[in-house]
Amino acid sequence: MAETSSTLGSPTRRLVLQVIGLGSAGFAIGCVPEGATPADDAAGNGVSTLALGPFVKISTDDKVTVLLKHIEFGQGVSTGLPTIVAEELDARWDQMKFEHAPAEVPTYGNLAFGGAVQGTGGSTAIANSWEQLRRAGAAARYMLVQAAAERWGVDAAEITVADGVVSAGEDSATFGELAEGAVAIAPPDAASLTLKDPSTFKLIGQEKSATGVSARADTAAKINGSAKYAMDYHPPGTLVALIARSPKFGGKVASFNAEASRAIPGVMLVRQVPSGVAVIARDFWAAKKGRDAILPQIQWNNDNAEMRSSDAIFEDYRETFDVAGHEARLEGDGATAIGGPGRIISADFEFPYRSCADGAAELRRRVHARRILQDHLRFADADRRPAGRRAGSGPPSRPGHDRYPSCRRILRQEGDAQCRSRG
Amino acid sequence: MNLTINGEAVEVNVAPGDDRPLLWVLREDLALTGTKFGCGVSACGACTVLVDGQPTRSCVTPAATLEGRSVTTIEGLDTPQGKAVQQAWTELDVVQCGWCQSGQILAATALLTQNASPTEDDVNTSMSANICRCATYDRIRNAVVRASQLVGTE
Ligand code: FES
Ligand code: FES
Repeated sequence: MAETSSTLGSPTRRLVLQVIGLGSAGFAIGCVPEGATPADDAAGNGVSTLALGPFVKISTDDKVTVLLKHIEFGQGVSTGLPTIVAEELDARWDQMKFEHAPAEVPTYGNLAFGGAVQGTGGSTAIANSWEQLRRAGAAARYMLVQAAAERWGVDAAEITVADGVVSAGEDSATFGELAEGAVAIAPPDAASLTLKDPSTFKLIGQEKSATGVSARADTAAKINGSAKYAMDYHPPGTLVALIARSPKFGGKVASFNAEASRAIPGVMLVRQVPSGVAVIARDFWAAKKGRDAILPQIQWNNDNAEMRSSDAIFEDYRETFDVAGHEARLEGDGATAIGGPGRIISADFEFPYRSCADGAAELRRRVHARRILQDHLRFADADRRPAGRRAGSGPPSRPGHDRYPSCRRILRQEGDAQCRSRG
Repeated sequence: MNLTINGEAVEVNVAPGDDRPLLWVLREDLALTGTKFGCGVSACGACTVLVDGQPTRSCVTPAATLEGRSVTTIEGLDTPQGKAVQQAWTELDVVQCGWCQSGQILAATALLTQNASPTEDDVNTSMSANICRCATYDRIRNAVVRASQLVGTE
């Protein structure tokens, strides 16, 4: 084993208990030195990155970064949302970048969910961001134009912006060259900005133009192993926790004997949590062996557990077909139509009840010793409050980052403890 | 012991007889996190790496058994077939969430290395055990065929 106990840092017992008290699926607890949060990619290379509002950052190296308030988990928001900004900003597509926004409401709230929740779901990402990001792009453009007007001593009305270049007469400058001036401009009232006429769109609604490139902004990193997912965030000293859960849905721990699990080298703590028994270890394999060892040593209380077999559950479902249903909407006369002439096509589709079937992609959460949540959930804000409550303090921060959710949904199926998605 | 990973001899802290799978040595000890953990029981293919060119499920392969063998992960994929697969994946926008794709790409590379012009049926047969929860199968199939054309033209 590569890790020795001396490299593990010293997670306090209290911290560990607070964290596992969240009752999550698999997660890890990292203990990293102060200041070891993921660095802004601009740090240390002489490039500064300046925020023009909460959604747009422009770097002196002429990159435009869009902060995604929605998670990218394959549906394409890392392409779609920056496209909206780039359009109103008149940026070039090849200068666009993205990163995931920090957990922060109402700034990054989903307007389709009322704005008070930062969440991704229900095919809302583009719809609720559409106007907001168009205005964010237009506001950043305004600030760049004002900065250019000041620099060149010309009227803003004489300035044009196209393909990432701001110009007036003989003068021209890139966004990167104007970034430092633009950040000093007072942001406009976004509602007062005039947005583009859609007939003039150059990026939105256009097919990719070149072959040999991907239309997706996340392809390059996802085909060479460099894309970082929440589960890939594994600083030295990270501990891994796995939870042994009841084999029956709704079962609770009655009692357990942790001896065998504790005897596994690398297992550091075995502890009951609301969803089962958590085994915390110095690495995944030790945690997995510890969990395998504890499973036969747990007595379950099945008083409130689902005790029917899958066959029995399906039988119950089939019987409900014979029961008159609740009428949600009535149009025409279905019964007569089905009884009338014509062809009836009938098929049964039966899907077993399985964990992980809801499309939620994230499962790893990481908590620094400093209590910074490094999760990547569809509801970015959701774990901060319970984490804070358990710790007896305010919610920890969940900073912005460049990671994707770990798609553990691809395989874990029944009987597996790790993939009870909360998404 | 020493492992050869992406062409380099790497000293890893694994004892003979240790059952810790290669996957965790790669991810936790060597920070090669491009190789993904999906199921841990050889059922999904997300953890696929190449061992002496053969697609191998690193989640069930103890690192200690690999002394003297050559391991290629997504980070070190640089054969003509591997490059062609990545290019075809780019052209056809194969990825969605991306979690399964390192494994898909290595499996496709192994296929093309053994069979320069696979048919769609060949792709189905050799890659059906690499699961994609985003269901990118159709694009994978087309991209493997495209990759075979790209290797042919180079
Ligand atoms: S993680 Fe190895 S096959 Fe699924
Ligand atoms: S791309 Fe998401 S699992 Fe394959």
